[in-house]
Amino acid sequence: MVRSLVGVFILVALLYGATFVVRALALPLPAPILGLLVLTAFLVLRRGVPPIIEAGSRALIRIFPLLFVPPIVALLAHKALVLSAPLVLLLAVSVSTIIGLLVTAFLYRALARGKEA
Amino acid sequence: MIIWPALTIALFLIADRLYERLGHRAYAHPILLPSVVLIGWFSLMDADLSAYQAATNGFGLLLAAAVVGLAVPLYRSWGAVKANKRAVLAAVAGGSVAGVLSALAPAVILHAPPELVASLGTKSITTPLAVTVVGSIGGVPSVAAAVVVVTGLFAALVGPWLLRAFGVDDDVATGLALGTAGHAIGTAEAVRRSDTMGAAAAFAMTVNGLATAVLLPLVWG
Repeated sequence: MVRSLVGVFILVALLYGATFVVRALALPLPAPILGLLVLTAFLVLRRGVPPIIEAGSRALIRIFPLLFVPPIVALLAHKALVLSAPLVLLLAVSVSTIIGLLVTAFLYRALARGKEA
Repeated sequence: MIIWPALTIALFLIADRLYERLGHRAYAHPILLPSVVLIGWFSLMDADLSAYQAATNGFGLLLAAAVVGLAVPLYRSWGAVKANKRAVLAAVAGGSVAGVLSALAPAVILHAPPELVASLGTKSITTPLAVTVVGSIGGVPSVAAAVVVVTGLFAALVGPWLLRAFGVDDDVATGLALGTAGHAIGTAEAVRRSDTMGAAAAFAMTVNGLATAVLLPLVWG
């Protein structure tokens, strides 16, 4: 529990560091993405995940769904926009998702198999 | 108003308990109960939505920190996919582009409002990334978040069945598809099914999310 909190604190500190760098250098990149890239590079160089970082990441990923709730509730403020094109939204979440699933799976199978042959 | 974050957390804890008890089924995903209850409350009671948004501001900070924390599953899942890395990266890239274009095409053809079109561009990337980047391409974060969640639920509920119906039986292919098209929600479904499928999905989710988040603002125009 304490370890998770310290881990979360470190991730928040990394985020603030990334925010500072993005602003100072006017980078065309959201700060959390820069933080993600920097932390990934650190893990690769170190060839392992420090337990505190692991605990913090695990804790935050576990509560992901909780953290999405406020943006979803804010959907109400955009009711008119959503209702302006219900068919478009329906197609985007259904047909387009099916296309994405099938293309990914079949591309992988075609390429991975080609390599074995 | 401490009541709003407290109520949101309480609803999430109840939903999370139910999700555990039902064996992590996508239809019981813990995003659903709090969202439905709160949206129902705010629309029926005509309550002050901006007060809720102000009170739950801190969630946004944790969401951004969680994005940084995605480095851990990205690093960990690399081992599961590195044997076939070319095939894996090509599949994720192809699936991602196909998913985004097939969502945008009907939107453009049917003349949807531009901010709605932009909000679809991030449909297959995990919510924190979508919310972070959609603003920079002129989309609406909350619409993008809702589209992402419904997309993920659809992928998790329909994906495994659909892929099997099309004869896809290996765990890596299924995992990559679930992670690419269904981000974190699809990944949760993959994790429930097998470790290999889960790792492939986690890798696909993170790489797709990261690449989309970096490239979309550059190519949008």
